[in-house]
Amino acid sequence: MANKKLLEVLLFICLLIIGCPNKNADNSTQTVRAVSLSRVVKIPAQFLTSDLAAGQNPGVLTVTRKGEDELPQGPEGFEVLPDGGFAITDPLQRRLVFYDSLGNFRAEWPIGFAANSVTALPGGEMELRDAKSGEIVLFDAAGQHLSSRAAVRSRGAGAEARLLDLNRGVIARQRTRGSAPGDLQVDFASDSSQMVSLQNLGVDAGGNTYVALEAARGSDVIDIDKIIRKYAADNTLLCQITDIPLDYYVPPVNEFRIRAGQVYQLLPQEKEVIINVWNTNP
Amino acid sequence: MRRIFLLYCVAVIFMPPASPRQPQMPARTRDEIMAIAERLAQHRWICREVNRRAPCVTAAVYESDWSVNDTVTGIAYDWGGMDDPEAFDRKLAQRQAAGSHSRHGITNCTAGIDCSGFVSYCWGQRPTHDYSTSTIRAIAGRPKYNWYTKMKPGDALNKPGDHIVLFAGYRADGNPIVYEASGSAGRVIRNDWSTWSRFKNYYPLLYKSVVENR
Repeated sequence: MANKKLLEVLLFICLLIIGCPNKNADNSTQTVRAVSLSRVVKIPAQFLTSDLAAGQNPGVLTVTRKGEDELPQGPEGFEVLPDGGFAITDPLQRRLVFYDSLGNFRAEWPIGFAANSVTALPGGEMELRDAKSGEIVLFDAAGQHLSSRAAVRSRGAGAEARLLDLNRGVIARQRTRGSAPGDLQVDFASDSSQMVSLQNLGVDAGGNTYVALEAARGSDVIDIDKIIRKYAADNTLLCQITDIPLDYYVPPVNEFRIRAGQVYQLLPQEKEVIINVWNTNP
Repeated sequence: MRRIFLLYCVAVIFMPPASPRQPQMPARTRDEIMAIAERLAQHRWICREVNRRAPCVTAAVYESDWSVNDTVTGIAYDWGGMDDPEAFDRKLAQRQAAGSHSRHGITNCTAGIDCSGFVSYCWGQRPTHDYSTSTIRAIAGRPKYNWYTKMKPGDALNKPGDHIVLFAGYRADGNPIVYEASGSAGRVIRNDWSTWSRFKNYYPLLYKSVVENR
């Protein structure tokens, strides 16, 4: 009788152990598909020297050497074009450089200022931000200057995403074709890290929302992991990317772009500018 | 003579050793720190042709960040510099160059402020640029609070040997807003587009003489 009782207690403990969730795992993502790095595009870069302008290979981007107490400078902004090619800012040479999807040089625009951000507009126009003045400068599809305007100080930057606490955030979504209206709640649960930021990277044509969140571990320095999640229009979490490198040589201003279900990351390094690509399509 | 020698020995033995120079740390409220940062970020100036040349730079070709008659907001980034708006304007009027970078070496013909000079100046350090990112710990401690939720305007984020920025607040999405003397922007800016991952391996600093706002 006593043995039977003991067996029942043991069975109960076993059931408890099996039934308990793993506290180290992010509970909200236990069954989510993980997307690995699909493709890497490498574009050569070289150090700025006084005789660089003369005879420089136009496909090579420019960076400065790391100085004591000064971060290196170089490409900070990029855009993915409708055909899968890239536009990358080369601020030290005051130009915008175009590549095909494999990273082969196509063209350059001598824009005449140091841009740190580039956005392709639907009509083929390019909107660039002048790093030195902060002005927004518009070019047509042929590279002709159209207009310049002062950038409005973006006190509301990040307003479409709100961190509620270290486990929850909200993306305020506008109604777009295929997307669910209203807020998208982002949950993050882990014993080893806390969510410290989230960003809305955009909504694709299918109504899927891409969210970048940063998770910090306890450490004596800032120790961050970046995660990108893809949510369906009905708010279902479809997949996530966790293998995102953060070892920038030049910290990018435009770090991520989304196009046709693919996530692109600009990762400027000392000898090359890397574009990492993750394909989130099933 | 012997008595004098004895007196000398006694004096040497009992005299306190010369103490190393103590850092001057004037008290500053957080509001004062942020008002100074804003003033340096909003300072407007015009780059004249004479401000695009730095004849003292010989280590590399000096290429100005600015074009003739550019109207610029924010004191120019000048590696090794710590000029306040008045000193900066005076130097420009004296035909000095607006700004420089580490590749130009140490200069005495350029005007502006660098990242550690900027944070030091906001914390009340002047008129000399005494602290780099590697030595600024002499006037700032390591806070124990949760950096991602409890930093206050006027604290700093530092990575020795690399860069330091002044923390201004959190955005709604949790990311930090900072003021910095930025080499890539070429000037002092308020940066509200950074993310935490940009500050990987940085650590927060708290100015030792900061006064909490009432």
